[in-house]
Amino acid sequence: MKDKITKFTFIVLPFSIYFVFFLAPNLSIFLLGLNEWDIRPTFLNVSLAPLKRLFTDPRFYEAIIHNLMLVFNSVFIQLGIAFVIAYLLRKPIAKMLKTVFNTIYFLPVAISLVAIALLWKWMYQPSGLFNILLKSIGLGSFARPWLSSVTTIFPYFDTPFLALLIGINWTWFGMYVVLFSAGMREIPQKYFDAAKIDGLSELTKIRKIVLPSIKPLWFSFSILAISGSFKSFAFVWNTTMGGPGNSTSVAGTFLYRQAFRSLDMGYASTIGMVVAIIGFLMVIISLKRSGRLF
Amino acid sequence: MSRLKLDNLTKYFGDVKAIEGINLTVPDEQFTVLLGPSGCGKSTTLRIIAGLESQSRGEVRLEKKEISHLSPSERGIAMVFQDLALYPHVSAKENMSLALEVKGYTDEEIERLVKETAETLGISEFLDRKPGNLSGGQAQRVALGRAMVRDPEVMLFDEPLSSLDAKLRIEMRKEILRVQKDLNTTTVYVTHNQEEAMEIADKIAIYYPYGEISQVGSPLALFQKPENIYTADFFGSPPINIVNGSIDNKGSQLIFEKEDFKLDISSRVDNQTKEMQLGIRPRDLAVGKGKGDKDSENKLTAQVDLVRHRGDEKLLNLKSGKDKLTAVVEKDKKYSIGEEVDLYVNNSNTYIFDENSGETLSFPGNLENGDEDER
Repeated sequence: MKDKITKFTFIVLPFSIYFVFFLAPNLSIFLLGLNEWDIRPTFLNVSLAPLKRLFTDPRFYEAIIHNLMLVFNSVFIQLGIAFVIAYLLRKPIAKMLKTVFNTIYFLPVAISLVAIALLWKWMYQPSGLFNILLKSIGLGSFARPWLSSVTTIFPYFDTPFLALLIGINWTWFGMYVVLFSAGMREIPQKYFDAAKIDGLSELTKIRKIVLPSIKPLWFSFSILAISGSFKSFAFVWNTTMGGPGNSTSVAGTFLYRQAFRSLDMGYASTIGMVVAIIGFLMVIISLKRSGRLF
Repeated sequence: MSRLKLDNLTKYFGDVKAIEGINLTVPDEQFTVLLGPSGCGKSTTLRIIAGLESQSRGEVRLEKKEISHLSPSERGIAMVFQDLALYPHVSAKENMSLALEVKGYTDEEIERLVKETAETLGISEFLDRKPGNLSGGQAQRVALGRAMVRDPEVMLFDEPLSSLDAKLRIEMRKEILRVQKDLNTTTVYVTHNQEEAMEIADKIAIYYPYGEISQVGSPLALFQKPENIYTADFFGSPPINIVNGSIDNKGSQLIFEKEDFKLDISSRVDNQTKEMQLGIRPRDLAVGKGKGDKDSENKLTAQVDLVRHRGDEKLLNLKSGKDKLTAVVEKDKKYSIGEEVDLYVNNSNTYIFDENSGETLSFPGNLENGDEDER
């Protein structure tokens, strides 16, 4: 009897909750996504029509390309900056202040994402911090409403999106600095002693000692970064809502607009389904590249 | 021309003293060993020479120039680390060539130098392997190669053989000595192993556990003429026997006494007030079966405590009163535990130490004064 209670409490109950609130809704997306849904959800009218609609929708491509840019940004630029800063923090001068630096870098992770988004939104406003700074150093001609005036840098990459990237990188790089720092602490000092005797340059040290040691970590963080990029919604929605136009739209905002602005739940399901598959594939590719799969 | 000189070198880590007042001239083209128990500051001395630590006081001079302000790579030194510290993610070859690339050698020169060094050390076949795929001996050779290939003025070794098994250690010891003799590189080598030091050194600096040098000299000089009981005890395997006794001042004669054992030391020591200890090397103790000539005063009585076999000889651990002694006997002589034996002491084979200061008051009589042996 006691055994049954244990099994119920620790297996049946948690799994039921998991099934009802996570597994079932997520799996039903795959059914809903293939149905055309008007007022009420339909499950039995499966067809490829919703997919066809999605793949001919330019807004979808714009959003997905932005997502891929976010992935590229976080895997290479965000992690790259974090790596360099973590490496610099090893230096004797920085070491004393390391705890202080790490606290500052990590702070954004501990703050609500919505609050951060609002902060950046204000800073980017016409009379916000950025323009004040630009004017104060005599670069007033560059001042602009950063999140609403669109200048295309290259296709699909406009100034508001750049502004968002900066904010997103600021939010997350600190976490990776702390994680990379922990990883670098694991590299034995003896290699750096040997490098000192050999007179290796910083670049050689990074290339031959630090980077190879950190590589497995970088791959792990890439997976976090990739899934994070596909889930990026809060920051974008609370700053630009994907606009102006579609210049900052990502899969999350595109989906949200369809679901809760256009109330086109069926189409939103289709988007969710396809985005989930793309994200899943990217993680698989990343795992495979790191040699931890197959 | 290198002439490495340490002048009053002192290092504190916070309030903790690592070394104090180290003065040492490292002879050019020779093998100098820093010897001492672990934690005695010998590695710290080496790391200061290398420039990996900075001293609190004192100077490191190379060619009469102060080099303390120079970075490690500017000092013309190479170092083999305790756990080798081969870069784990690059091949053996690159481990050797990276330092050369920094120095601006051309690719052909690097290729040639690495190839030559690899051939000398017999590691040509392993050059493409990463350190993780090398055996202990191979990795050791690569580490040696990494230091050699730069043709340094001074080579530093920080207990490089401590991680190897006994057989390989002896093998590599020979290898290092051979390389040093071939290249005539000025070498400073740190170890806690007195046998190793004895075997390879031209000159040994022996450290006290508290970071000061006890004595500097050739291996034989340190073995035969230790200036104090600490050095005497450090050298020799098994270590020297110390006999505690009292001094009987009979008019003109000075007699070292321990129970029935009497030794006339009046011709050897003049200060009569000191408390003294007798030092006898285990091989200088002649062991006789008990109840020998009862009248001899030059004999200590002792009980056998342990018999240890060494193949070609046996070691007897003995108890004589409170003193624990060791003697070396022939392998086919039989002794049983608890057996009473006589130990004959030849006056001319004994050291006499000042019990308070540990200083050596008299060396064995067969050693002429100033007999400094060079290799």
